[in-house]
Amino acid sequence: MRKFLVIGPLLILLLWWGLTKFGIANSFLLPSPEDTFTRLVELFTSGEVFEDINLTFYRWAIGYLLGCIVGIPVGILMGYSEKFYKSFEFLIEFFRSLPVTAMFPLFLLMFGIGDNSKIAMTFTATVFIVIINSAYGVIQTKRTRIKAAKTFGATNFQIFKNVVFFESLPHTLIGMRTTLSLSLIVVIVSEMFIGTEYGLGQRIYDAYTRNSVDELYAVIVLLGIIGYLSNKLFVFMETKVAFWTGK
Amino acid sequence: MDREIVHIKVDKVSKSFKNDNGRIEVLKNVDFEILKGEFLTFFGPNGCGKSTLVNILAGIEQSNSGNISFPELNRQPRIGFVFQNYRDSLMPWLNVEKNICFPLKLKGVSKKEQQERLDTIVSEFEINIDLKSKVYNLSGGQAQMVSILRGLIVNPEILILDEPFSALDYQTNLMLYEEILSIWRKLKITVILISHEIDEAIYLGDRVAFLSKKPASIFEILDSDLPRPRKLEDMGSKEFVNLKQKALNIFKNAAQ
Repeated sequence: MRKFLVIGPLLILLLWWGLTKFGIANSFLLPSPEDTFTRLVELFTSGEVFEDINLTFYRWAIGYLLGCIVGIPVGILMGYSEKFYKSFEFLIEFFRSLPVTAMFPLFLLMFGIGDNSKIAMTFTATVFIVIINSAYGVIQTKRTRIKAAKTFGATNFQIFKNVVFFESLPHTLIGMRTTLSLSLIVVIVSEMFIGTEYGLGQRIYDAYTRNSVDELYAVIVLLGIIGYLSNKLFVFMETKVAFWTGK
Repeated sequence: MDREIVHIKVDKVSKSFKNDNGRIEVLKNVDFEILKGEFLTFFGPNGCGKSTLVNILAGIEQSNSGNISFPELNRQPRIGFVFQNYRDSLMPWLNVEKNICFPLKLKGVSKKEQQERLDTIVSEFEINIDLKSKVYNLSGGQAQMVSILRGLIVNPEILILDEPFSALDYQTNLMLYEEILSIWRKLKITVILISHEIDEAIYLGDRVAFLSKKPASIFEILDSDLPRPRKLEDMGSKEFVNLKQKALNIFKNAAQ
């Protein structure tokens, strides 16, 4: 069945090629695939895109990882204590539902126009969803398993370390995977709107202002590849780390 | 066997839980003794509080009043516990041997000693399960056998089985009856089994304790005096049928 995987992408490339080749689409709105991919290769051979990738990845990684580092323990605590959960449920759900991009100006005011505001936005996009998922993972821990550990004389900490942690892991990973893509979106958007010297979001915006449509498309394709690969990599890691999920 | 020694003395144990309509009484003045080395089965209507009773025996839940003592020990005995739902009580992230050794790990027993205990128990009961395999790849019978071994690895003085057969098919049950009887014969430990199958309760037990409906107390205890060792065919014998008739009469009255 693997060979079917290429059919969709081939069809869209063919359609893209046909639309540009026969002049059906306005070449200013849609450059040909050849031009797009040539520009993409140029971006790499000239080395001009490396600094953009580097800085986008830096902001993405720091914001995302901080979000996970803060979100997972808070989520686990919330899952553990119903009182804690009920006390903060509204706030977490509120901020999770609030588009982080709506808080742009606030972040600018608080963190300035440098990296910090972009990292803070990425962090915010990550942390609430990670909290909810980790909390949920703990809440749905099988009572029987905790009871089993108790009959073997486990202390509360042992129950956490040997049962609850593993039980909640698949859900925690779902939260981390969801926010991996989401946080990339936020980094790119923040680079486009807050502005920066280097960054893939900034490059897209620059290409747009310079009317360099083939570069615009090239960077979009590049971001698509980055998003796709990071998700694939995460799924692969997920099946290794939480191998028992769904079994 | 030291059959006359009282192993567990349950003295007027009562338990109630809070629910939306106030408190609900689950156990009321449960009073009985379990002899050392005895195979005691509990039988009673569903939801009558059998599980609550064994949870209290195992020390996972506390009674509201009454007392449980172990007269000859003067300490809490080592208890092995086997749950009804093996899928939810085994740890899917651990393989078979790590699941079996899980109680030892919690007690901080060294890796080497864990391995020795595992080797002993596996050879003693001629276990034909790949110890490295994942528990979710096991059949129901194998998985329940793993949880029985996990209960046995602590060298229990009392083995509590909470409806261990109810999630399995009949053929597997028959096989596990034999396994449990052979474990009981070899280890000479006290076994407490909760059952909702009257045949099983009579066939396995020395005595069958009937619980009344909620709030449960011991309604009557029936001596299941079929000779041992018992064979599955004995379930068709005249003595067995007579016992079952008696049991059904008791149950009818108990459930009223």
